[in-house]
Amino acid sequence: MPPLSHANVVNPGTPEWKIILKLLSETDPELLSRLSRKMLNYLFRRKIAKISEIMEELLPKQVDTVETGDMYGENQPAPRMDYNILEDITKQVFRVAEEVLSPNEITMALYRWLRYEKIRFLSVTAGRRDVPLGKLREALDKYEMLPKRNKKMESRDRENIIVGLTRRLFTDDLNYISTIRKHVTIDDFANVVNHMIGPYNGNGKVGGKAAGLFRAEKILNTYKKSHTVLRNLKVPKTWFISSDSVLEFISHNALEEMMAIKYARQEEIQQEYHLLEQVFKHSIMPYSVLAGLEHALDYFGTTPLVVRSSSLLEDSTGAAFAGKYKSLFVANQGSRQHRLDALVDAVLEIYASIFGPDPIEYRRERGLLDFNEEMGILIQEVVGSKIGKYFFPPFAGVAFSRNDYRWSPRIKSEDGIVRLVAGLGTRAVDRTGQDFPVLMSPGQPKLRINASTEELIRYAQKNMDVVNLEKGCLETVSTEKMIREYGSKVPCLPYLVSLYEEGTIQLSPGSMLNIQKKDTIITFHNLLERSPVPLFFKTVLNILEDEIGLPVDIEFAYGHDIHTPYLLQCRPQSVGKGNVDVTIPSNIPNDTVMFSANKYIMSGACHNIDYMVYVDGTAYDEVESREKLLEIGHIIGKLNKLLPQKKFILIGPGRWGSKGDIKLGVHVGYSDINNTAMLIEVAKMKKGQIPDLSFGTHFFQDLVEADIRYLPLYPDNDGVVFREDVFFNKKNHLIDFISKSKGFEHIIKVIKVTDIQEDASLSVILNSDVDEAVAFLKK
Amino acid sequence: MSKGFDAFKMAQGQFDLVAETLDLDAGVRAFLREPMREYHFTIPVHMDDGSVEVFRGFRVQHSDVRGPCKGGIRFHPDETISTVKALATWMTWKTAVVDIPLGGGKGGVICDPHELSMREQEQICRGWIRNVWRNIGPVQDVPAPDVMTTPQHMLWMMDEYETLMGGKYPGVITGKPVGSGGSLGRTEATGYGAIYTVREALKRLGIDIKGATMACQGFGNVVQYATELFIQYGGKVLCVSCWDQKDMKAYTYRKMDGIDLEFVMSITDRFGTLDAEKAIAAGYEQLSGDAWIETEADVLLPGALENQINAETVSKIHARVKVIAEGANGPTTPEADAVLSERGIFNIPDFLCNAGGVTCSYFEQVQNNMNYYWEKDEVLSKLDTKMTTAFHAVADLAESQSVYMRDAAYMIAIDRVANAARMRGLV
Repeated sequence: MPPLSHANVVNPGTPEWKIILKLLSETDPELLSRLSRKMLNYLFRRKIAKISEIMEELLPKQVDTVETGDMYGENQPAPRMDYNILEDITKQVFRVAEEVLSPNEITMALYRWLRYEKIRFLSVTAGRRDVPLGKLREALDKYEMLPKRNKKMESRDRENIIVGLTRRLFTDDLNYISTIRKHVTIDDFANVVNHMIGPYNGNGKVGGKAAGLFRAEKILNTYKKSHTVLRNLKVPKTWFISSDSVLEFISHNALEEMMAIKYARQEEIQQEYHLLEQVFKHSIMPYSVLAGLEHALDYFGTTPLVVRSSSLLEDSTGAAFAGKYKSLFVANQGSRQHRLDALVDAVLEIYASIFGPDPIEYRRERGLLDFNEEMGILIQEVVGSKIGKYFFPPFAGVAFSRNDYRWSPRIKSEDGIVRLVAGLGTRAVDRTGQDFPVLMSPGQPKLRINASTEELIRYAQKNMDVVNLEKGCLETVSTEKMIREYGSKVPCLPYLVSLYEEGTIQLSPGSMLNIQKKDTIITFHNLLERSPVPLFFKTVLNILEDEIGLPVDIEFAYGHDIHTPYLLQCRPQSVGKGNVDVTIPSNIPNDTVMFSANKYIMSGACHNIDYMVYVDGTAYDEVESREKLLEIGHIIGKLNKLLPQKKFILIGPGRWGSKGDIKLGVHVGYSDINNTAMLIEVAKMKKGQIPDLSFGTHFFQDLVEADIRYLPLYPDNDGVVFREDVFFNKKNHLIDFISKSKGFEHIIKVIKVTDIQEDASLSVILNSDVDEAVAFLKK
Repeated sequence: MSKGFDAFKMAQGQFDLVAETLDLDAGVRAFLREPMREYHFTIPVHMDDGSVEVFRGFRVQHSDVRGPCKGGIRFHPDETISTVKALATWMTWKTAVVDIPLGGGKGGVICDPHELSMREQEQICRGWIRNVWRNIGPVQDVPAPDVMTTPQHMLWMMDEYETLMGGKYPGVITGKPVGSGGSLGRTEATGYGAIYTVREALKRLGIDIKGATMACQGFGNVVQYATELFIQYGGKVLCVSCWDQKDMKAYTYRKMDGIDLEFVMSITDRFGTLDAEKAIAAGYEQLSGDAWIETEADVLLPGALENQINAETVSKIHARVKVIAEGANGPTTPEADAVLSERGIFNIPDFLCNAGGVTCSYFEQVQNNMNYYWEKDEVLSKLDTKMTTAFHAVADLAESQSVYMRDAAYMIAIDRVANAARMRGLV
């Protein structure tokens, strides 16, 4: 038999594309039909008139046989077309293409589409929401192995794959998908899957925390070219444990009955929780997860790790779950087996925390109890460096794109706020009430809360959190001791400390000679005055809020100098503590409103207030002796101890805590007011002038750490309600609490809310977004 | 005008009482009741956001008949001219009672440093000097840091002054850091100064300071150095007190056989707070914050807060107490003064007892003017001489006229100023 030559199949001079079509019609008609659909769309996009006619043919025809009732309108299924017609269309499409396109253009298009066929498997895999992790990894691996030119595809195909992968790995949330799609590549997903631990056949996701971080990182990456300050931004090396691994773990150990604990009474949960934690710790980790963890350990080496929960509930419900689940530090030192055991222990403890009393109560309150318990986990390297036996970042903290604690009217909500601490960020995330982070508003970095030497010392950070590599645990050490021991070896020190000498503070430490022997206090002065860090936060927070379309909060740490920021977490900003709802109800009856405000409002809410303590400005002004003015402060201090905690609010004229001229405000210290739910300063017009308010600056940081809300009231402003009459017409309970306070009843009023309206309590809602606050009675 | 409490009226009232006792001429009274000069001015500042804000500044020179005026500059949003005038008056008496050749002044700017960037604050400082530079200086009026002003503010002001004067005049302002014209010994000055007067008081009462006991309120800079020197002299300090931020209350830590200062300092943070656990473990009693006042001791030293000895607490003072040394400003209320006077307790009034600080400022200026700086020992020994002499002058008067120490201190101070004015032929 003679060898098959070209001439036998096609004529010489036949354009290449025709040869391809011929070949396909003989060998792969399905592929040919996909290609002709692509060509149809291609021509349609080029607005070729003839192609529109062909499209017309594809549309269902209106049939004029009304009598027969045979008409198919939009509510009827369209009839199926004859397969031959479709084949015919293929021919027609390429005939039109031949007329309007050059042979080369057609050939090139076919090449492109055929190449895409090589990666079509990925769009098929990504499109399946339940594709097993193992299969997905294989598909992405295969994609990764392709030569670069074979990865080319049309943007809509790419987007389709990206959206599919986002749904499969991260979330179905539409806002999330729409904000991330233009910032990610398929390789980004391959990178996630390559660092994902979980059952081969599982279909779990990475969870909310991981999703939030991934989105923020990708968004910021696209801005690196235009914003040099972002250039060095990194995310710590991270591994993910898929959210369904916990279910695998539960079924592997036959712990299913534990799932019912969430429906038990709170006390039972509390009782059983510790037992449960131990049961978990003594159970066996399924092989698929264990093998993954070993793999991760090899990858990380012996750097300290942090194991963080990444709950599915976080992203699917909008509930913040701030601090509800655990984050655990693992020193990751010692033998390999020891390190693995410690890591497994941490993971199991976080699994157990799903059933902890706190998160369950939180879910119960929000009607999320029936949601399934899946929870992803992030294993991240701890950012920082080794200093002696310790490991820690020079500084870290949290940042919010909206500033709910403004210490000056010059600061706007959108100027944001950053809580900075030396060492691990744990101290900035949690409010210890005794130690203080440095607060900075990135939009106004030069306006400081603390101005005097006394304030700088009192509100300085005294302790820092570090990983102790020798003991293998998280430890709190005194900043002073750390600096005495390691001096300039502590990175960034000149940016963090000021010197305290002879009763005065030298803000910029200048030369760091013999720093060990000097008295240092943490002020972050040089960091705020002479570093790009404030600009970095302003940029990051602005970009993230703009892109995501919501206020955000982030966690961060710095690696070893002021140019190595790491993003650790990013999520929509929770308002106030525990995600308080600050929507002002629209249906508050006018006669229940006690006061309102519309200037310099921070967000928050106080409910179930039983008492209002009011210091009358006019009567206060009339007091002639300094002793009597001081006594008023003492009485407030006593009331603060006698009234039920957080169930009363303090309302007074001008500047609470005034230390200069005490006529301008009641002379109190923080301990005289620390139990109030709220501190209100009234700026009533005096001699045609509105007095300045303090904005709580005398103990601002105390207020922040204790979550005491501050509200400035301007009764003379338009649209403001101030029911001063209530304070004079209702019974004053002052003497009931302090019998010795006779002679002060006309100045200090203690009003019981139930005297105004039976069975009622007072609620105050403050909303910074609309700059409005309202206090009203509620039954 | 609202009626209300007026600080300057109160200062005048106090002066009137003493003037009556001293039987001063009407002319002298009229002259000393009011400040000699008051400067009111505006300080326009270009803010960081491009806007312009105008701040109000003051300098009050109450009296310079005994020497250049001396007194701080306050940055405070609550500032009023009445407060500044009152404080300037008190400075005149304070420098006079320790007999240093200075007068009294005070100044300020209505502003809140919490709301200003460092650059804006610098502009305020320089603007303040540009308004008064012709009227202040080492031979006219010497400012110092005060409420919410820091050595940094002082250095900006000094720099502006020197620029305008075209020379080096570090003596224009005190409170500068050591190395930039500050004096050694400043940290110790107030606490040591208080103990110099206590030592002399005990001498007069015939009590040997060796073996004498003292109970202190507070454990800040003043009490720490007072304790150090008192123990050096052979006395025992039985208790100190401090604010505990964690528990939100004050505690007294007591050891009846005397505290070990070195140990206590080792468990104290720089905020003056003792580590409760370690203190208790070492055998210190942890008592309520006001327990110091009930302690059986020869000397009480209220060293940190105002109004500690008041109508309520004065009755708790132990019968053994012979001396009260007012290390803090205004620790005793007038009601309590009456009781102390009746019980014959020897009071060393605040503006004498804690004048070590202002005396050291004077030394700072002296060293600046001659551009020669003393060692710490020299500063402290000169301080001892000044405080001791001043103390005995007041005590002698109290004894000879049978008046309460606080009254004697005011009398001697006002008399010195009145005399100087008379001798100059002003009144």
